[in-house]
Amino acid sequence: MPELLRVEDDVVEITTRRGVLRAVDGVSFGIAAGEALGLVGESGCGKTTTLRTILGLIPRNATVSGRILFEGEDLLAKNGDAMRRCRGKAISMVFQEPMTALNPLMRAGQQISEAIQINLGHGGRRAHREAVDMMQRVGIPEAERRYRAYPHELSGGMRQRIMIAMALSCHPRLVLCDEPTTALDVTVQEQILNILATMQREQDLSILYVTHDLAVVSATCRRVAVMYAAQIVEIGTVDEVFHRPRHPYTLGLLRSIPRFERAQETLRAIPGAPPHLLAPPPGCRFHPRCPYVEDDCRQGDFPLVPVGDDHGTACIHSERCTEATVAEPVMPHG
Amino acid sequence: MSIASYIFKRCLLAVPTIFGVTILVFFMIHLVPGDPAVTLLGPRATPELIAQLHHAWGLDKPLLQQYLLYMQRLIHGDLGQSFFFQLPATTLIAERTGATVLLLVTATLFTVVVTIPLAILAAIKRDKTTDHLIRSLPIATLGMPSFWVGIMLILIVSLRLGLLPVGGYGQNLPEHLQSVILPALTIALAISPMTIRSLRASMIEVLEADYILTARAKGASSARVLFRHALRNALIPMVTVLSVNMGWLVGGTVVIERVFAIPGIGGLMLDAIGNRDFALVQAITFVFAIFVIFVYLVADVSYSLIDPRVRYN
Amino acid sequence: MSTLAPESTAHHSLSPDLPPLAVANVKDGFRTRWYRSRSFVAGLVILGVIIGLCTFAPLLTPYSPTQQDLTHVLQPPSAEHILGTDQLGIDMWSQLLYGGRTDLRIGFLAVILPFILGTTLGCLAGYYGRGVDVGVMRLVDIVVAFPFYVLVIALVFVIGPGERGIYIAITIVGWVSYARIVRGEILVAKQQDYVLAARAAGFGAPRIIVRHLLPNVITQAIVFATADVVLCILAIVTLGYLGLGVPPPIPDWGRMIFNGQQFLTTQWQLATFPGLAVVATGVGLALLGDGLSDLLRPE
Repeated sequence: MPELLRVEDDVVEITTRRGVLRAVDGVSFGIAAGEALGLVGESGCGKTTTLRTILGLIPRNATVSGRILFEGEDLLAKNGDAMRRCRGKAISMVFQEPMTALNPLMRAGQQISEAIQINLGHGGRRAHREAVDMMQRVGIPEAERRYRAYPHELSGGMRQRIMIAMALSCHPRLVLCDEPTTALDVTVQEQILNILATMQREQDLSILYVTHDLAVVSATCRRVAVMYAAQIVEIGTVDEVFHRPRHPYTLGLLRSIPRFERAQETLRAIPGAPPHLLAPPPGCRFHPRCPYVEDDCRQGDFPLVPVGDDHGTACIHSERCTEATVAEPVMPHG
Repeated sequence: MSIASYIFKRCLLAVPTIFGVTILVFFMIHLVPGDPAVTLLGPRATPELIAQLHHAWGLDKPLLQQYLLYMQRLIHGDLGQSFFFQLPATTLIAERTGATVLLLVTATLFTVVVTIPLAILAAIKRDKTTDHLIRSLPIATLGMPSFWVGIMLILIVSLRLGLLPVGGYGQNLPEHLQSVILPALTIALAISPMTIRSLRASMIEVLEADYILTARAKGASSARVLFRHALRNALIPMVTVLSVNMGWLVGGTVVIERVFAIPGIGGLMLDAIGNRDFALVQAITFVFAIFVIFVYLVADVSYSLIDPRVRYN
Repeated sequence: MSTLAPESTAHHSLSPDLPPLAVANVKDGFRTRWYRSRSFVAGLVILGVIIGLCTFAPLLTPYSPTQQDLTHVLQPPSAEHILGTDQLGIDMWSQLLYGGRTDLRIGFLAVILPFILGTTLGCLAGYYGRGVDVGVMRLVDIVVAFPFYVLVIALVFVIGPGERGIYIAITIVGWVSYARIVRGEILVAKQQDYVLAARAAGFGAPRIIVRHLLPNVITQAIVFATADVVLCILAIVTLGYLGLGVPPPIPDWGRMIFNGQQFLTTQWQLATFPGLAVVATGVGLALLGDGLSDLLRPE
């Protein structure tokens, strides 16, 4: 499959009062056309920032470097206006918290038709019709009535559907999702994920899912990248990474998820805490918490190296993970 | 909930405050040291006048009865009788209302015209030179007495440049308008640093809101983001800022009317003080308070018109 | 223990979470860092100069601020009278310096009672909530319904001329801002863990308020107080202009401006310089307050 998006060596530096930190430190990955990639990690690992750099929506005190190739063109090289034309049209975004992400003073449907008017240049009436149409396709009943509703009058699930409708209304080729289901009830989560999956198939979209929830990724994505402390530590197909993880952090994550079948088991957490990005540890950033740490882990850089077909890891002792997985298999999720 | 019932509810909420206001205004006379009648009449005290006052205010009766007497008069629209002019306070106040209202309206207009562009500019160009300049305004002007600013304006604009009258109010509408420009400008300049600072902070908050990010992610241009999304959401804080500062606007008229010799209610109050005309002072104080409460009410109602979330509270 | 907690999108700040600083750190930081805030230092310098000039007035001028000289009325600035004389022949420069003593002294003192009253009521309202809170807020509503100057003027009129009336009037009107600020801070602070811990340990309310909540909450009130001093000075000067302030012959900037207004065409400096003095004081205090709020803010 041809590659739609390729991020190369994305670095985001943020200037704070206490110094400069790298919220994203040399992140590289690609997404093929029609494919869904999950980007997982803990809070503060840089996954949301990575997402924002693609659309050029980073905060004022941040600088970004690297290359972000979308359909062959470097997005970072585009000027403000050119980038703006891209947003919402070729690439769109779904945000985590629809209550704050929707303008409270504007009717819900209008926010969708606004996107259509801006990006497709359609007139008011036509945009209205298309917005209602899109609302129906994402499963909003009584779409015409809901069009005129204000965001606070809708339920959380409904609001998120509005956001999705808004993101998909102009037929983008890539949709960036920032924890789209985190703020929703579990039952609603599944509905929303189904909608996204359906729309992806229908419109042959590429999706980049940023989330902390491994279950969401395994249900919706073909490939996954694991981020830790502003870097990608493992990347590959979901099948490979979740069944045969090759990085101790990924292994730790998978093991830490509690499962109902083994109720008497104590929770297995990764000891310690993620490093402060102002002063990350030298060498492999995970080494202070790694159960397999050795001396050569404490110095040097650790780029991703391939360890199989479409499977890369930053760990130089990844065979330890293989041994551990063989001894105690990681069950599939989802 | 319809707008009408919302308004009614807000009016009801204002009632206890109005009661409190009447109590405070009523009670003021008992803050006077010694026998209020003697102290207030000062050199003009004669036994007859003292007795007249005692009777008029029921000072010989118990406190509660005095208050009830006062409230009874109030409800009938009787704000008391001015000693000095021997006329009902309501009449005196009514004939001076025009000038004060004109001044207030013009001052509010000037304030809005000055505040909104500067606040928006400072918010957009945040932390750059323009912003720093605008933000340093409150520091420079915090200590500027408004009446002194007025006098300086008279010095420069009226005396040196001869552009506008030095004071007074004129005889007809064009002259009224001319006379009101400098005073209104003075009041606006006095308040603007505060309103600019507040509105700027609100604009920044609005500009950092999630839905602004959504709008940008949709491909909206900066202009559209500003006018279609940010501004409308910033109207609410603007109304708040104006209504909160209304107390200062109105209070400002009292002083400024003296500076520019404008025959308004504020000037009347100061004259009354000069004449030791307590009843008139009391009446005017009450009127001012009611006016401010009314302004808060109007602001409240306009929230519900601007923000659909408010009606459902 | 590491768990995958959802990211908050409440703000776009990307700085990683730092543990909150305890109060002790803030105060330490203040002591060592105060000279690093340019506003604070600038404010301090300006105020220092002004206060110094006023304090050392007798050394800086041979004239008394009440000494009339009817043979030298309305003199322009000259070698004998640096800023000229007013319509009674009194030296302007002396009036300025001694007037500063009056206005600054009353201004600084006038802040104290509203601060104490407002902070106390705000604490009680914020901590106890419900009935107390409603009561205090009602009081606030009532006071706030009156335009500031209207109420102050009316009260000063009623209580009588002189300093006492000014203090009482400003206290009755000025406590409101402190109450609001402190109440707001306490409402937030009382949810913090250390307060819950104190309550769980069985500490009584007064102890919690005074020893645990107040120190954290009072910084905002102090910052506001610096601005409030300016407002008090403005109020005194305004009252002086309106003839309701300190009675003559005590020198006062406000009354000087009133006197000077009649002579705008000829001796405009009479009205201008007292105003400039107030402005300068305001700038100094504003810078001080700005610097203070910067310094007292935890990182």
